[in-house]
Amino acid sequence: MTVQERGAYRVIGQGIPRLDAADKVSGKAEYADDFHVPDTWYGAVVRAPVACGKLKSLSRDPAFDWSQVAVVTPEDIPGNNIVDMMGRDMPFIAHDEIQYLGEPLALVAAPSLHVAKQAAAHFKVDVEERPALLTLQEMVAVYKEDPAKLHKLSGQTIRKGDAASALKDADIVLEREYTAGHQEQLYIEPQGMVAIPERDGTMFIHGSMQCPYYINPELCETLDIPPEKLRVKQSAVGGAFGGKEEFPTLIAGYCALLALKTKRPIKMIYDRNQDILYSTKRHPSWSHYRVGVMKDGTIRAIECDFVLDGGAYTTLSPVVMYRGILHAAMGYRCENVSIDGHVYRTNTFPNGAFRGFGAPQALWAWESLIDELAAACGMTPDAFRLKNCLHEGDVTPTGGLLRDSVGSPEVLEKTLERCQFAEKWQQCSRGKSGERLWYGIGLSFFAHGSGFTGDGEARMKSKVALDLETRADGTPIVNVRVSSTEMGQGTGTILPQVAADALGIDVTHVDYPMPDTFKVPDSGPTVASRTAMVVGSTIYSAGQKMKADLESFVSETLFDGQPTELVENQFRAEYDNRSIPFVEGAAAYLASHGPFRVYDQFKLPDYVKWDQENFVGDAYPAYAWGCNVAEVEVDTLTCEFRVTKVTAFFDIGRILNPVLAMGQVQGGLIQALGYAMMEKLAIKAGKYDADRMQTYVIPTSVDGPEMDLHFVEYPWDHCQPGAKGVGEAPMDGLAPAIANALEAASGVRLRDLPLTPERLFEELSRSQRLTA
Amino acid sequence: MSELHTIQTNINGKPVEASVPGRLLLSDFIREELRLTGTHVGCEHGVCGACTILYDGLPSRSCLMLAVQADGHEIVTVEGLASNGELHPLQEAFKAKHGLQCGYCTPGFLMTLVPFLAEHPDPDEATVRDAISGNLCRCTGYQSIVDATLLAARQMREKAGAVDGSEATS
Amino acid sequence: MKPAPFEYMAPESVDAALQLKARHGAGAQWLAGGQSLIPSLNFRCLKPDYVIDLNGLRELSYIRFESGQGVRLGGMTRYHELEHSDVIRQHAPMMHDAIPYIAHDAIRSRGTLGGSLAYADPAAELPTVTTALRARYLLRSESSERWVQAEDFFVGMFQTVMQPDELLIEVEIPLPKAGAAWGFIERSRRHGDRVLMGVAATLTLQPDGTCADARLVYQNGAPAPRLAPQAAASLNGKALTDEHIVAAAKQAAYEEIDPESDVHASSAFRRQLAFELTQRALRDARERGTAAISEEGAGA
Repeated sequence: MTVQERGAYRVIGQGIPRLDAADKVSGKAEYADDFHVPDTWYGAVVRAPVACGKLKSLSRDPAFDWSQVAVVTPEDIPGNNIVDMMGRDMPFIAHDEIQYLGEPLALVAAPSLHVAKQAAAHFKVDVEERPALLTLQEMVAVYKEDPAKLHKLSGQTIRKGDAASALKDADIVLEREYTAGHQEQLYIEPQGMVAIPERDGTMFIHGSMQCPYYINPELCETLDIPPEKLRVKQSAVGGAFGGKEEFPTLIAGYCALLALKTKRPIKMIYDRNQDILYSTKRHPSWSHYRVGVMKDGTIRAIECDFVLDGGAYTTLSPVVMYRGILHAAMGYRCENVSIDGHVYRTNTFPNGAFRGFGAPQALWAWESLIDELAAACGMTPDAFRLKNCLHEGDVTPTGGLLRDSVGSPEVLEKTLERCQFAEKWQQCSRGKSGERLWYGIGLSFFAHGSGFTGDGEARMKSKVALDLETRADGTPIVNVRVSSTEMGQGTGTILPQVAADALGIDVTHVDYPMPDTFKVPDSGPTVASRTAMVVGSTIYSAGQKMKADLESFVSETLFDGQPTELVENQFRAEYDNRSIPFVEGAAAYLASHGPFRVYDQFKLPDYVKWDQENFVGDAYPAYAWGCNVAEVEVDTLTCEFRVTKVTAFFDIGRILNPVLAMGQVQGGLIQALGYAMMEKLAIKAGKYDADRMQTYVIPTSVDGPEMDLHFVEYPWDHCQPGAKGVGEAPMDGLAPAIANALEAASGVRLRDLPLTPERLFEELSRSQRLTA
Repeated sequence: MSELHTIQTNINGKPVEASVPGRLLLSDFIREELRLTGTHVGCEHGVCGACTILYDGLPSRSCLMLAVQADGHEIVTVEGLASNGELHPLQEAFKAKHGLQCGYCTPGFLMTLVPFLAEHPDPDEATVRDAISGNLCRCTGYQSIVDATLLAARQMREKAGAVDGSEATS
Repeated sequence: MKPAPFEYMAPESVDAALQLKARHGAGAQWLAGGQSLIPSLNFRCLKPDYVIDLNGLRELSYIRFESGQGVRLGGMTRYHELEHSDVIRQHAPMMHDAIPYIAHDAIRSRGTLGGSLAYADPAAELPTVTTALRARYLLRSESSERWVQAEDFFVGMFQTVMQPDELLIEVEIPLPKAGAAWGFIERSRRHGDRVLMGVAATLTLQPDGTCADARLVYQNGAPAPRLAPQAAASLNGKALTDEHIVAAAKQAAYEEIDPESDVHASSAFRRQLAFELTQRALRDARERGTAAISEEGAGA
């Protein structure tokens, strides 16, 4: 099957305004903290005072007035005291071992937040403190000495060919290490949730989240309630970026446990300080490579250790690591690949999902190393990439065949041409002494796997529904029923566009109600750049089904059985040219049959084969492709640098809404700029040192470079309309492009993220390149 | 200690009288007491800008003011921008140019930009970027916000020009 | 992140304010613009029993030029008023240039001169700038009044010589001499953020091109605005050559200041910044001084 040409679409491909824009610009959109539920109590968490230790006792200060306070300890948990995520190693409330500073020891609720917080501060905690392992650097030091001394949370290998012997044949072998630090999602709306115990025993969870169907079922075991008694509804979400993927299960659980105990609605809204200290971050990573190349630039063998700092518990770390190792040698031809992925425990809050999900860490190292390899072969970075990059028909490190929709090498070639890379590469300063400013240009090129890793989509079988219903004003409306959430990225606009296009109607007749597990099937979590591709294509086929059913109804009841087509909002009879508007035909259907629901389900094509145990086969059904070029200017005296321009091309398959897609690229690149140059968390006494917005610094409107951004369209052939996802690819490649540009400018290479003036100053001082 | 203070203020053009404890933040007063939840709270130490409101016409962080300081002063929140059911041209431009994604920071940007555009009817891109540099947005990368602001400025100039023109000919 | 309970008081005159403060002493906190105080209350770094709001004291909000004397600024004058004042632009241009570095519009609309000085954050602009401008501050209590020179006012991080019953009433900036010139430059990780390092240089360029009255003051170079008297003295009586500038910058950055390491940057990096920024500030001053001399020459 081949997808339609672009021109065949009417609504898809239009940059229509967001459907939620009017509510958001007028202050009407309701975020979690905006709900006013009568008789609500406020929750707070009693937190562990040490990063590692054994809890000996927990008692309440008898001098405090506890009459207006509800307390939940592990004994109050109706089901198992376990968070049902991967590893099943995290308790909801710690009762014995403490694995990170601030781990919950008890929950409290009170009629006011003030009293709840005071109550939480009036517990006496007796712990036996143990030495904590806190940082990536400490973890890597132990790993180098003896990995068995670490607590392993997950491991996975990729083996292709025979990397060990091939390395021996290589002309040049480079061994390099790169690290990347924590990154905080820093959505502007902090985490927030409300749990409302209903009279019929239903627990209603309403709040800020990416994945309603994570919370149900993950909370069922803890609360000991059946899935049909746990209702989860998304509020407007003020940004997420992965930070509201798995974390909301925790805060929802705190609220629900307190709601069970008090039989009242419970609200918890984290303040920024709590949010930074006690929510997930991007995993710090250490990548260790040994790569062999021939003098002509052929990559002979790749060996890689990819090690993630998992934080205290397993949560989603294995899958983050999988995506990391699947991108750690991706993009280029090589017959001999050996990658070992590991996740180890440290005593910090569990690290978790963040836009890119392991790929930015892997590509940071890999795309930096590609420049180093090019230099070792005496080649320019562009020539080396053009020589080795994967083309259609090539094979990935796991042996997957790139069958179709491969935007490589086009994105690479177009970017190089657009920014005149070859000429500018010649003009780079390379640390020339006596200059006031240094100039450098740097490049990165990458693929980003679309959808779940491995056989995830095959197991998920995303389900979607379209409902033809009657609006309050009596007119028909098609409601998109999915669990895929709108968190700013545009789901609530693109999915109605896809449905409208499939139906042959205007998007004004389609709506996207906020997901509510009592009303929507499980279309899967809103992660992994999968919504446009997987959920979008399933909506498309559901729309086509609904269209066919409506056409045959109108044909039989109104057009005497003539073949009838719904196109451009009109049901048209083929023979006598009669036509009626969509709303009229749909209203007739509703009057005769009542509301009408169409289901559909995503199915991976049969040719996609994946061996999850050995990591062999098609790791992803398709890939988005990207190329980023950064140009930098370095002040040779203060070592301050700025990115003056970014040129980028992305192949994200079919573009559903070009303005929304460009917004994802612009926003993603600025977030990647923050990751590359600004965002920094160190750990002092077990605690993140940058625990407020004043110290955790993200880019503002004056920190961004000039941007020259473009798309090429290689739609995924398997299903209409052929989108491949745009959410994450913009996060992947900017950091290495900037590091490469900085080397071209200054002559020194930085191998640790973030790249700060201070780090450059240290390296330049070490290499005695400073003018002073 | 926490006795109540009676305040008389004007919120979005309407007189409001209330009794507030001294320590109540203006942001909490607006959100919790007045239920004007369009003013968002993102950091409570004046960095993110989501809670920006107009205080006697000047953009101010409502998380860095006390409710009692509203006594005798005029407050405008995002809910006060539309008039007679019509969105402010800046709100229309944010819609048209996708000057928002998650929308959480949006009211703060709007309340920063409304007085800015009154003072700078014809700004260039750099001036707009400087004006919004105290408002954090984690979604858009700011370009669409800048584009929306420039569009709004143009449309407001055109509208003002049209009004002037009609007056001149009448 | 909410303030602890306190009693709020809003006096309507300076005298009434001073009476209240005299009664409640250190347990009472002045509330000026609140742009630093309220975060401290929100984080509960400060838990005063009483908050005395000065925002009703219109009498403390003024910008006056008095010929032959200098510029007088009321303690409750807001940043945005300074920013848009022609008096400041003409008679204290360094202050005019420094104000836009302070945070953002929505902060400058509330923050005040007196609040910034009394808060004594070493990373703030106005303590450094007024020290470089040889300003003096008028402190008043219910029973007494005194003037304190800016360089004697700051004693440490968030610490001044102010007594618990005193209020900063006025700042007086003296008139510059002929040939007066200045340079101000600062760096932060991000526009409007807490500075990593800043330097304010003032000097007088004599008609023969030699330098006099040099003063170098560092923002965040120590727990309080820090002068570099030896580096400054090394410039006096000499022509402002690049060589002298580099030597002075080196002495100030590596011997006379004492920057701390924190979440934003290390001490070593801050010294490197100070070294470079001092040179730039002095070169800016040289340029301005040379222009001033040639203007005066042309005028004569």
